[in-house]
Amino acid sequence: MVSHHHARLRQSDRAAAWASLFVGGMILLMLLLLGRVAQLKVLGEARYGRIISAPLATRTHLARRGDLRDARNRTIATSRLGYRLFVDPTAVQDPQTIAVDIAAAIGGVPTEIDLKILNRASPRYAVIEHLLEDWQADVIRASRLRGVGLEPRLVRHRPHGALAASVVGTVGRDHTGLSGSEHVFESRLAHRDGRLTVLRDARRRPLRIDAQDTHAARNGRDVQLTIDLVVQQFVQERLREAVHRYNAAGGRAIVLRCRTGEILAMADVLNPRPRGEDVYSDPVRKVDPALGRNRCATDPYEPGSTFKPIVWAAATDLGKAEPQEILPTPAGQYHRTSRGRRIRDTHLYGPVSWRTVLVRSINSGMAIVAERMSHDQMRESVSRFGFGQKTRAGLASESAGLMTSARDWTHYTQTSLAMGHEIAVTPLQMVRAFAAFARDGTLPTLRLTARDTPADAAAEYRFRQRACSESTARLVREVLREAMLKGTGRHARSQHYEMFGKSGTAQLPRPDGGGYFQDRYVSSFIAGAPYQRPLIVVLCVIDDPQRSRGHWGARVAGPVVRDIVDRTLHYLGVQSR
Amino acid sequence: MSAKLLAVIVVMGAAALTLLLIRQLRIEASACSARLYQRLIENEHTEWKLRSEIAARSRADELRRAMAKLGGSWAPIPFEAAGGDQP
Repeated sequence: MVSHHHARLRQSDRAAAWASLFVGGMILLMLLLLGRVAQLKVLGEARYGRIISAPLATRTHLARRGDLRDARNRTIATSRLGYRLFVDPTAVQDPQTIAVDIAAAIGGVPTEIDLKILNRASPRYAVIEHLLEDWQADVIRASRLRGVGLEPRLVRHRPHGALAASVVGTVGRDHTGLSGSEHVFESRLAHRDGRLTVLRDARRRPLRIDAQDTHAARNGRDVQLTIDLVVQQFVQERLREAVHRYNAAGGRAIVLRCRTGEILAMADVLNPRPRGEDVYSDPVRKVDPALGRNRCATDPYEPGSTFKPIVWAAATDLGKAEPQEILPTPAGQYHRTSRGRRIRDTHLYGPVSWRTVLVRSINSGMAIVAERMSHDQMRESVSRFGFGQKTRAGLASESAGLMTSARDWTHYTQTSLAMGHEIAVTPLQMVRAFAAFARDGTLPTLRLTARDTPADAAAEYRFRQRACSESTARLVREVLREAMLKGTGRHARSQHYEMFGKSGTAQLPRPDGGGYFQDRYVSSFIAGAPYQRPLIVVLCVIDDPQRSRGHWGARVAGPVVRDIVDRTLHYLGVQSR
Repeated sequence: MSAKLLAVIVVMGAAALTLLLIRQLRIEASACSARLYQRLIENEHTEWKLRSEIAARSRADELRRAMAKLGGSWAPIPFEAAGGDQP
């Protein structure tokens, strides 16, 4: 009994000793660990300093600028990621050979690369290429050259190249709009980059995101334009062909959907000629076509006879002449106005009806009726058609055109305006005014962007501007159809669609204000189609065609309008006759 | 007595290990989340690139070439069927 008790006592002593030993060992271990931590923190070994002191990595989270899309949602301009190649000369392994290594990887000349490194603006940042091709970026990544880096940046891509360049515009290096729609719609397209801060472990692997120092990126909003790229393409091609055929200084063309006011196409071509004395120029287009001004909105021109329907409608609406009224238009050389001004006609018809005056584009007939209107009546009528005001279609630097002020308005102005002179209009103003004849006498609200909501359409309907009565609009359309059959417009007649239109041939004004060139012209043609239920209005202006090749509006610009009408209506699925 | 002491140490050790394990799991979840966020950004950039390529390949002239290859005759959708003159 006693020995058993002693055995048990010895056993428990051993256990206690072991337990004490274990506890003591644990305490010693913890003390050692604490000591090591203290050593690392207080004394700080250099080789651990880099890992402990810089665990955070911050970078920009790039956002995407909004897309520009066309009427059918095709992409006109979109942003994608590109890479800028840079070198940090202080981190390069072998400065003597880095240029050769880079040139071997991506192509290029080593001496040029060396120069870029030498002429760098910052000691640790030398840009070698602002934008690499995708394969070049892949090669650089794979090469793992020390001191060579790829900096992501946004690149604006225009899949259709220079199509509608002046309408679309371009962005600068900082990806903000510089011109055209990119600039006008900057507030909608603009993006906001975010910021991403990540805590990394010793092997630079991401551990966690620092929520306090991280902001989400915000992409820009897409903008849908009313331009249809297919229509734009053949308008641009046809216009360019006409400009080169007639060796003109340039040309402009617009296709307008007259009921909705949507601009389907807007083309502007310049053709610098070696003979000099060109009155049209836009040198910045040599840098980038998208930086050029949009001459359909910015450059007014004298419309010539294409303006006659405007005055004809105004006079008819005011009851100054009836369509069947016979006017004393001359059979001789010229007509003399009440103030002694001589008005000449291209062809002499003798006395004709007011209707025939428009069909045959008779200057003297227009002057006779214009004298029946007061100066205020003429001026107000022209203003009602939107001239002297911007169309506010959403284009940068739009011009309001030029109209003689009320104070300077004379009898000469009155009779000149009747023939489309002494007034300068933009192509946008012209199509909008002509569209009144394709509608119910009201002007459409021109727009370059798709409507946001049906409420926009309702608001536009309520605030329509009336240019002339509905009956007069219908009458003008009828007379202009006759002009296409019997008048100057017959050269532009379409076999597929019935059109109503008017040609114009105006002398080119001298840029110094000293009158007109005697043998240089602006040839234009404007038409609507189909006649029964007009859908589009098309205007073509050919600036300063070479006289020896042709200068009459009906022959130079008329066929362009006809071809554009044919192709556009076919594309839109309108049945031909 | 020693057994109880041992038991306490074991339990405390187990608790500490569990806490360390939970901490490690949390760190791994954060790391996974951070990696996923970066992958999202990379996928976004890939999407931009694909959008740009699709836009380039769906140009009118490219489509005409594709239509020519397919053969047959093509006609536009009639105007009224396409929505007429609705904006």
